[in-house]
Amino acid sequence: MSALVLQIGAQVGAEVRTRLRSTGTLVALAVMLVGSYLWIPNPGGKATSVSWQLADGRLQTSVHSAAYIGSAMSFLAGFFAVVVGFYLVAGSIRRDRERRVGAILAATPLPNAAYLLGKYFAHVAYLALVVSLIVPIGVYHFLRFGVGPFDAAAFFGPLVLLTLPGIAFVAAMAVLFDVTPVLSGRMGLVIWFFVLSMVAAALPIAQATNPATGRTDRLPVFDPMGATSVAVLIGRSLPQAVPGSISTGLIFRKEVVPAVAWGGLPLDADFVARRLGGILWALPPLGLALLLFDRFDPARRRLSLRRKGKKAPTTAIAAAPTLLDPLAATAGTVPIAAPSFAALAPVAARPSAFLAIVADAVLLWKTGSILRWAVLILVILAAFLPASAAPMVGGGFLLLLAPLISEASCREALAGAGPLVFSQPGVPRSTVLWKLGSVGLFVVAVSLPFLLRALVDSPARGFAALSGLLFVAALSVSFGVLSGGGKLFVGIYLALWYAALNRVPYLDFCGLFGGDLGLTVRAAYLAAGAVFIALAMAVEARRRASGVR
Amino acid sequence: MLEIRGLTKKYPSGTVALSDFSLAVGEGVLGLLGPNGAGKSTLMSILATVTKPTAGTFVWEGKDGVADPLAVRRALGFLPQDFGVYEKLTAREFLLYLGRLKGISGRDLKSRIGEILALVNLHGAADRRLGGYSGGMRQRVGIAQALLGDPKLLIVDEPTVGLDPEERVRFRNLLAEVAHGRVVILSTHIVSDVEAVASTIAVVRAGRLVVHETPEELLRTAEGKVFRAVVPSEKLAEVQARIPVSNLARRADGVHVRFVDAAGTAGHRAVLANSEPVEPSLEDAYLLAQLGGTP
Repeated sequence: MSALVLQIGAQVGAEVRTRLRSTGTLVALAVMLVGSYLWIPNPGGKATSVSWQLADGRLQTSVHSAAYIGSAMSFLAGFFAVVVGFYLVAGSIRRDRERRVGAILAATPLPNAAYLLGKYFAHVAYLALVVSLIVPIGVYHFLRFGVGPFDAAAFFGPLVLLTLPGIAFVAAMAVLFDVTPVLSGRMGLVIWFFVLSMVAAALPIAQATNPATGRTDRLPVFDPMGATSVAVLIGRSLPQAVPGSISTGLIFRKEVVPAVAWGGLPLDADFVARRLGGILWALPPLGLALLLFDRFDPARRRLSLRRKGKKAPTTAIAAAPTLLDPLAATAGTVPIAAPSFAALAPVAARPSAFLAIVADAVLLWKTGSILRWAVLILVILAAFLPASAAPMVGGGFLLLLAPLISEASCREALAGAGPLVFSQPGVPRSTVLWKLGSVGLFVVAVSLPFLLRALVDSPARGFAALSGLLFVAALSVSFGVLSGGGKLFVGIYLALWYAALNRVPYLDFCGLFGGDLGLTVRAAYLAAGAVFIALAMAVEARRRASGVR
Repeated sequence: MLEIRGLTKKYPSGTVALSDFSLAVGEGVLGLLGPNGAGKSTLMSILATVTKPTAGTFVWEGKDGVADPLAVRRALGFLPQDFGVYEKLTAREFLLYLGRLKGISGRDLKSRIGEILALVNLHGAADRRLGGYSGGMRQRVGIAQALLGDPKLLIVDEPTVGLDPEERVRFRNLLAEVAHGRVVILSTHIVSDVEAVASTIAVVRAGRLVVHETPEELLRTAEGKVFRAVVPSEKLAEVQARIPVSNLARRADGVHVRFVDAAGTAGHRAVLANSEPVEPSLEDAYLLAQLGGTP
């Protein structure tokens, strides 16, 4: 038993150290810090993170008590841990496979369970660390604006109870996705979003809804994100509020909302038991992962590919059409039948940045797997279907675009092909600009029917679509360069996409969901893209100054 | 054609991988020999314009390779020691991509890829995904991409790693052929690879150039410093601990130990009274250079 604990501990230590030394972690921590600072608005302003409506139509919010700040922290932490957290931790086992560490680990006495549990607890530790960054922000808010005594249970209780089951579930799902062939790649990042929407969001609401009254007033058994549990608890804590009028999340009002005393989430024994019991929801995905884990055995992987009807890779011997005399090996430069290099026709090379951009855009298409065809079909449909269907079809196109371009700017680093690629004469001096060119070209080329349709509808819509797509290209390139992977971009882009779909003001980045935001906002998107690119170029320059491209 | 002037590379960790390294390289194959961590790969990486030196520069056909890396890249074929491939692409698709980055396109590129794939014996597997390739096949893809643009400067870092014996010999022959009218730098720690094709040899130790000579000159410097002795099996460990053994073979009369002695007649030879001088091999000469026994 102690050996198992040591093995898991070693896994956790290595994994957490690796993560803490990556730029992606710095970006995630920065996003969490800024996000949590903005999430809890200053008192007396027009923004609220918890508000409700009284029977007479008046809106109210809470004073900055320990209970209020604790609850507000927990809403954000629960959301972040489940929605963004997956993108932060998924891909760890895939990385071991691709970087060939897996083969070394597989040859050690490390049991499969210890390996997977090591990954699991590393995910848990890392997510807990990221999420805990919200605490100093909450303390800052209380010290500056706090009302009443500091009630530690009311301050920390909701945060711990709401985020712990979420972190436990997401960490287990990340392990499961990583060991499942179809889900371990970029497609898995998108599929997770649907799993999240349907399982982690819709299922708790279905459980909480009282069939007799139609209200969501029952605590759900399965609620990893905790959002439904929060809604139920707030409803119980605010009997004076109009049912369905309680809002949680940062909302900007037209007027200042009066603040009143609020006792926070009522953390009764039933709730505590349900949340702590919710940690056990991590067990089914972990068990399934254990069954599916191939221990980096290429033979098992080949078998699974064959079952899916793909051609299994062949060995070197099978691939070589002629086998030569093995004895020749020891004789030095013995003649071996082979075509002559000198006999090859000369080639004329005219390296150019343009050709490199086109080549990289073509590569994006070629490595797009089945997703590229889905994107193409949706784009064509979006161009020819009536305007009423555009948001649905165009939304699908924008969604599937994310995994296609997510790793474009860090592809060389992920594949270990950097030295091969960056020593080529056509590759521009700035990788960031090269990738911006190729991703921009790819995005515009793939969405050409959609862009033309928008332009025909109105020049403003055409510009909105073009500026939005270029913004997405810039976001993908810069986040890829900054984090060294594609997950951060996918996580943040999907959050943006979801917000645009739900018509959050100013976030309809492509003007697809009815947001006529005007030229200024469109220009702001382009400017934001330029800022991200400048940031990535600064990081690139710093890396180059250290000597390695 | 290639002149390396005082290259120094110090990593942020403080490790000095190269220290004031200077060398002039002409047409033919330069074999770069040195133990692991000697700085060979750092030197290759700098010459391939992937890594920037901390100090010094190199000049390729009159142009400063550090200030104007593009001039080098236009002439360059580079096979790094450790490289990855895009596993979802076939070998042909991967070479198409790299060919375009080299500035080759259209039919020229397609026919060139076909020829190069035949040259590295991969024509039968050209349309299979690289993810299913063995290590040796990937290495051959790496060799193919290095030769794709008809390079005038070919830099190959540990190229025979992962190749089976047949392919290793095939590659040596290819390298010897490619070297006509070109500068080829072959970095390796396998002396027999260098012995087969190198026109000059540079030995590197701890980031510094120890010696740069033709194989014949290197062998001459080792003459009279290589010996053979027969040692009883039970004394082998003791002998190995005291003298630099370059080779050994077990025979019926004991273990035939081959060792180098920089001092020639005294030194280590005194340990084994029955030793006799033998003709040095390049491996012996390399070992001597590493031990500091050559100028």
